[in-house]
Amino acid sequence: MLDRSIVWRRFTRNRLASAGAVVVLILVALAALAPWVAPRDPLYIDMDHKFARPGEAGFVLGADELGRDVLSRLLHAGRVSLAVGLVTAVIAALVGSVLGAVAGFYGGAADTLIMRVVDVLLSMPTIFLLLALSAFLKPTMLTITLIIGLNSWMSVARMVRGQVLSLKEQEFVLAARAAGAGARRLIVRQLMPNAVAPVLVAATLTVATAILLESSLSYLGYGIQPPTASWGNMLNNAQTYVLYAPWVAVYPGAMISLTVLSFNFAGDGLRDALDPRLGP
Amino acid sequence: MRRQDLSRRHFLSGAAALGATLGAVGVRGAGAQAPAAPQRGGQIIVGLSQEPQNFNPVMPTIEAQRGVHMAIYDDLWRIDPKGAFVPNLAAAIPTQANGGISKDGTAFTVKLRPGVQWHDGQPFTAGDVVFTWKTIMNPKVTAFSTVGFDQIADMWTGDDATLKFKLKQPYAPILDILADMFVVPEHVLARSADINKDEFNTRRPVGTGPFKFVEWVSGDHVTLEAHRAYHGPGPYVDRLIFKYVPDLTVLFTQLKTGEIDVTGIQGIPVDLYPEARTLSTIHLYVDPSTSYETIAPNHLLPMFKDKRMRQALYLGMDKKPIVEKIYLGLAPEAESYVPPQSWAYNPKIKGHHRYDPERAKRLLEEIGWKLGPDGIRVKDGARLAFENACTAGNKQREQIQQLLQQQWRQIGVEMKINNKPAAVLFGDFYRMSKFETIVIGMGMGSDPEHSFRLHSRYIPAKGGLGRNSIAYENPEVDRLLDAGVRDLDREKRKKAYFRLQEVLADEVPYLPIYHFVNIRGTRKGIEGFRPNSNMQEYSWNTNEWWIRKA
Repeated sequence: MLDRSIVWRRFTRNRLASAGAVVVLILVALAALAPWVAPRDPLYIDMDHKFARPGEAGFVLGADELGRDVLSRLLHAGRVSLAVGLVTAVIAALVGSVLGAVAGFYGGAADTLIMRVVDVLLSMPTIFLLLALSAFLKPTMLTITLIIGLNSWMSVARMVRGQVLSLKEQEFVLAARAAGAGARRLIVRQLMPNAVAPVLVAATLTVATAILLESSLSYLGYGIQPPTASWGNMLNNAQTYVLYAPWVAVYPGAMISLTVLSFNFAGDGLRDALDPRLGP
Repeated sequence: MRRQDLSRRHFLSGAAALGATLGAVGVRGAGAQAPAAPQRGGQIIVGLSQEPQNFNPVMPTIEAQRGVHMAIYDDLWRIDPKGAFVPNLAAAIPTQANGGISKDGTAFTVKLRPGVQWHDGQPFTAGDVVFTWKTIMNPKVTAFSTVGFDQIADMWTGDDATLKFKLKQPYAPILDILADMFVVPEHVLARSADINKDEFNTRRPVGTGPFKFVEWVSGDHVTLEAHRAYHGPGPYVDRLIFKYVPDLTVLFTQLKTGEIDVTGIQGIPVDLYPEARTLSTIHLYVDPSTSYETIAPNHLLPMFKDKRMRQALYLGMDKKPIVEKIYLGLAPEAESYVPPQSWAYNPKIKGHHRYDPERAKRLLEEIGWKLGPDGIRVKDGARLAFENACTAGNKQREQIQQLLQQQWRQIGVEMKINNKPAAVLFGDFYRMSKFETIVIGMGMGSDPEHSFRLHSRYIPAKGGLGRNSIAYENPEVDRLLDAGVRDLDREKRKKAYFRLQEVLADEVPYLPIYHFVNIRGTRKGIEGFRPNSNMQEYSWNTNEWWIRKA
């Protein structure tokens, strides 16, 4: 692994990546502090202010079709969308790493079994799988996160398996093996540390995909249930009002784009910073 | 054409304020609409948000299909927008006065219109009507519905132009039921090995209606062309095309751009109404429908068995913001399933429901539900909480749910929202009474007979073949529903239905919210379009449609 200070220097030198990271931190902070930062109750319906314009009657970003404060809903929705994204990334990284490492290290039947499962899951169109599952499970934040998470680990598993396959033939691993290291020690101490960089990068990118997937589920009406807001269901509810109340659509749309872009920039920057083949 | 027809609510841009009540909607252009001779030629494209896939009117059907059937087939009579029967294949409407109906109300004689031809040139006879009824009742045929048809003991022909039938017992809605029976040709279908799967259904339908079937390009459109030997007035246009546009917003955009001429079935969503009002290129028609939106509680749950609980919830429901803000003041509040324009509507129940949260709270206290620490009432350790479901993604309903959630919270009731895809919701979940409460729309039709939603013999969860899925049982309601269909005399029927509405207003088996309105649009220049809440569809009079040339 590269020296931490080198990684830090390379990352901070990449302006897009650092900007992405800063935005991500701000978004997470705002979401975490939503109950204290939000000016109003995000669920309070006030039909007299249906579609209040931004700035009107104290609605900073306007009001939605039920007269709820868009800013407060955006902040609270951030909790849901970011939580779905981050938890999914953790699930994908953990499950993907473990299964990928096992498949790559042991090979044979374990490899065949795991990789065929990966093939099968990857060959299913994600959105239909999610729709089918959410028709049977009660859509709560937990189930939706789990469903998306358990659908996002396959590419990580493939990648880790590839890394492990090439690493396990390298001299340092052979040396450790000759020194009598057991399988678990080899995987945990020798192989995984060398595969951490790509996993980290894949995880950041998964956050973005998961937020988008939750949006599409919400967009189709099978996501987080009303009245709880997520950026996806806010955007979904706004679709018919785009023309005469653009603010109800523009803000959640902008938040999704901003978050996804930031995570992607940060992830890209991280990949470059962690790449040992590039100079300091 | 009855151009002076006052019930035609021809809604034009700028004609009325947004909050106008239905009664006030109407007007401009009585002059512009002066009687004019219909002009011939051209084609009209109807946009449908569901795809018609079966053109045999006996088979199970969806609304979109019914719209096409109405253009291809004829029934014995139709019901006009004012609720009067208009002869179609029949030469006259049978009544006791003209001898068409026997004194005891069970034997019917119908004289048929002479000289009617099938699209293939064969003559239409009374035998075709008998064949159609027998096909509907044939257990091997998966007919769309046998409700009402099963009240006919037998049907036979007097001669080629005379139809006779006998009822098992007096059954008042029979004329309405027959208005929805489209006659199919015996000379084509009698030869069929299996009517359920015959080519007739999808590729070769033959009717007597104003338009002949030409082709169905699946996933895209259905083309019909004028039946020149049609018996009635018209048809005036050469071609009628039904185009499938699955998304309602896209459908509306296509009406704006002139890609379609008429919006079919669901029409224009109320969300798009403010924009539609501003367009000078289309005519808007805002018409009452016979359907209403309601909260349906499951009476199998002990909580909802007590009528005071249902009354309390209803008292805690403020319909004003729903009707005025979500439905833009277009839809009238509903007190029961009977729409205000029906002859069976009891005006005394108007205003029976009031929003009175204080009385709701007192009522809940009375039956033992005391406020808990979190503001939700409790009784014997149970919280006053239940789930509510609707079709996921239905925006108006989701808005209603969230509004009710807030209103009911104020009287200490917690409603949790758990929506489902339509296929799951309307499957066993609703039908077999597995829900707690749902938001649902229900139709009455042209006749006030409503047993299949309210009568205890129609509870599917208890083996009944009907749609009383709320599992409501009340002997008095059963008695009134039975009394309502046993007499042909409208005044006597009125008594039963008036009383029924009073009982329902007190019992609150359903919690009605508002009566739907249909918002439909046609491109300017399309004439003869007359929405009709008494027929299932907007396309009941396609023979009268024509295009005004600029």
